[in-house]
Amino acid sequence: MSFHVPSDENVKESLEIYSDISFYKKGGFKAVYKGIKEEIIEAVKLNYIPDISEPGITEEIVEQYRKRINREINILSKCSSPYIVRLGGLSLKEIKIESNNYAVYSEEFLEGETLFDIIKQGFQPNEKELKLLAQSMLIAISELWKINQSIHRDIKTLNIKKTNNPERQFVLFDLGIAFSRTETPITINPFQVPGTRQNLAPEMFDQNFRNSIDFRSDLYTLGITLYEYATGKHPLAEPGEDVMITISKILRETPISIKTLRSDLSENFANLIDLWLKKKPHLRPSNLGYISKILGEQK
Amino acid sequence: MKMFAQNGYGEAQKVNQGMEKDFIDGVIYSPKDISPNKLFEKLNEQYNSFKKKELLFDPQFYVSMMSSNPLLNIGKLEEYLGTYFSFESKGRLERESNVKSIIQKTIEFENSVPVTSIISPNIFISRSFDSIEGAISKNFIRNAKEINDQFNSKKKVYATLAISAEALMNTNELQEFLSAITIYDSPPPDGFYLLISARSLSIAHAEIFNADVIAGWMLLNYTLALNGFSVINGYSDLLSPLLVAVGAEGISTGWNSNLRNFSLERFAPEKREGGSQPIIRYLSSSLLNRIRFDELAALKTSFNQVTNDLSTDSLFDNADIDRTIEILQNWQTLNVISKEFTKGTVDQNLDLFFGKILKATELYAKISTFYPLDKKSLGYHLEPIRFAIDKFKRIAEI
Repeated sequence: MSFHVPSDENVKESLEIYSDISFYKKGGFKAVYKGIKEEIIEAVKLNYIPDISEPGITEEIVEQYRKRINREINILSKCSSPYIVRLGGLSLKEIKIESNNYAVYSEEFLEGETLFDIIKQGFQPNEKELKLLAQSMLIAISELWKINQSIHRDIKTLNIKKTNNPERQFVLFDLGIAFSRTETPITINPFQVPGTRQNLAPEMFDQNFRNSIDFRSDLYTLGITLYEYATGKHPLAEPGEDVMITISKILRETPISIKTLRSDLSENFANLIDLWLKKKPHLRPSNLGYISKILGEQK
Repeated sequence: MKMFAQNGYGEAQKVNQGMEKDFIDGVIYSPKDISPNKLFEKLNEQYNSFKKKELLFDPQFYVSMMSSNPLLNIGKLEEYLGTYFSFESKGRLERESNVKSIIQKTIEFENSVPVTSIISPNIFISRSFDSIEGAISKNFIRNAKEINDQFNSKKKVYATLAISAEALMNTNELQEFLSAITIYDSPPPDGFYLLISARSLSIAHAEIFNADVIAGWMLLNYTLALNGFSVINGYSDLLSPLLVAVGAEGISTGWNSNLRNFSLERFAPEKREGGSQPIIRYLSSSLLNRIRFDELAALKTSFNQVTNDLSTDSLFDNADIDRTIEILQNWQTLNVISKEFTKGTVDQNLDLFFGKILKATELYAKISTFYPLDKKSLGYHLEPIRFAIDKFKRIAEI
C-alpha cells in the first residue's frame, strides 16, 4: 500500500469551495492542506482510503479506515473545549483523485508551532508554561473522557500546537486513533496496537487492553509530553533506539526523575509528572480537583 | 494526620480524657457497643465540649450478611434494626436500587446524630476482590457521594472499605480493584474508612503481621491518598505510623484487643472459658511494640531507650495503673510516633521508618541478653514490616 500526496491542483479541482489550496504537511496515510475559504484558512485533511485491489486489503480493512475517520469527526463534533482542535466548514465526504479514494474534511487551521518543533529549537519552558500545558491538556483529556469515554491515545509533542492565542495557548489535535470504551472496537486485529510505540502507555501492550484502559493512559502520554517539553528528552527512549528495546523499557524501567534534569521545578509539580509515568494506571493521580490544586500552587 | 479512638465496650471517661489531653483528634463509635440513645447522648456531649474534635460513627453494615451464623451476637447493633441496619443477602444487594436505599437510610441516621463527617456503609469482602462481594462493594462506594450530597449537610463522606486480610494478599486483584475505585465517573467519596480484618481475634496479630497483608494495606493508603482521597484506618493500632508514612490521614486504636484488631469474629465469637484480664502494657516507641508494665519497670534503668520520654510515662510509676492510663499512654505514643513519619516524601518517610526498625531490632537483641521478655513483647513483628516495606516499594513503583 503506497500513498502519494495529491498535487494542490488536483485537490483544488475536487474541492471547489476553497479559493486557494496548498500542501501543508504529510503524516502516515493522510495529507493536510491549507485551504482558504472566504478569507478564512482551514486545515483540509485528506485521508487515504485503500482499495481492495491492493495487496492485503480486504473490505473489512477499508471499512476500518472509514470508521476511524468517522469516529474522529464524531468526537470532534461533540467537543467544546478550547484545548481541542475544532472542526472546519467542510463536512466529511469521499473524493477520488487519480483513481485513489480519499475521505476529506476540514478543521480550523491552528497558527503556531508544534511542541515537537519548539523542542528542536532548544527552547526550555518555565514551570508556569509547563503547568499551563498540563492544565490545558487535562481539560482536553477530561472532555474526551466525557464523550463516550474516549481516549486520545496519541498525545505527544507532535500533536499539540502552541498558539499565539492567550485564551488557548495549547491545543491538542489529531484524534485519528482515538478509542472509545463504550463503542464497538474498530481495529480488526485485536493484537494490533495503534499509536506511536515510544509514547504508548504500558497497559496498551496488554492484549486485553481494550477492556481495561481508561483516560489514565492519556495521563501517561501527557506525562511523557511534559517530560519531553521540559527537558528536550524522552523519559525512556534514546534517539535511534530499536523499538523493541524501547517497549521493554516502557514495561519495566523506571524513568530518571524529571527533578534530576530540571531541578528548578517545584517538588510537587515534578512529582506529579513522575507519578503520571508510573506503569500501573492506579498509581497515576487522576482526581482532577486534586491535580488542579497542585497545578495552581505558586512556586 | 489524625489519631482516633476506636470506641467500644468499657469507654467510661477514656475518650473524654484523651480529647482533653489532645492525645486523640476524634472518636469512631461502634453501634455494637452503644445503644442509639446513649450514642446520641455521648455525641451531643462531646460535640458541645470538644468543638474541634472529629466525631464519627461506623455503621458496621459489614455485619449485614452474617445472619445465618449460629454464633451471631451483634450486641446493641440489634437496636438499630429498623433505623438503618438490616440483614441482607448477596442477591438483594446485587440490585443497585437496594444499595442506594441502604446508603440513604444510613446517611439519614448519621445526620440525625451530631457526627462531624459521614461514614457510608459497605459490605465485607471476605475472600477475593474479584467476586460478587467486590462488585457490590464498588457499588456502595460509587453511590456514597451522590447520596450524601442530597442531604446538603456539607459533611464529608468516607466510604467504608472492609476487606479480609486474605483478600489483601492477592496483589493482582488488589491492584485491579484499586484501578477501578480510583476512576469513578460519578462524584467520588471524599475519603475511605478502611478496615482490614483477621479471620479470628486469637490469630489476628499473626494474620495481620504478614508482609503481604501489610504491603497491601500500605498500597491501599498510598494509592487512595495520591488520588486525592483522605483515608481513615480503623483498628490500625501498631501499624499506624507505617500507614501514615505512605499517606494515611487517620489512624485509630482502642483499649482492648477487640479495638486494636478488626475481625468479624467480634460479631460471632467462639465460646471460650473466662480468662484473666490482660496485663497492662506500655507502648514503647523504640520497640514499636507494647511491653508489660512489670517489664518496663525491669528494663527502664538499664535500657532507658524503651521509655518514650512523654508526659504519660510518669503515670506508669503509680501502683494503681488502670486501663485508662494504659490507653492514654498508647494514644499519646502512637500519635507522637506517627507524626514523625508525616514530614517527608513517602520514600523519605519509609527510609526513616526502616531506620527505626533497625534500631528496634538492635535494642531487642541487647535486651534479650539481659531480660527474658514475654512472648507478646518480643520483636517478631519487625521482620514482616521490613519485608512489607520492600514489597510495597516494588508494587507502588517507588
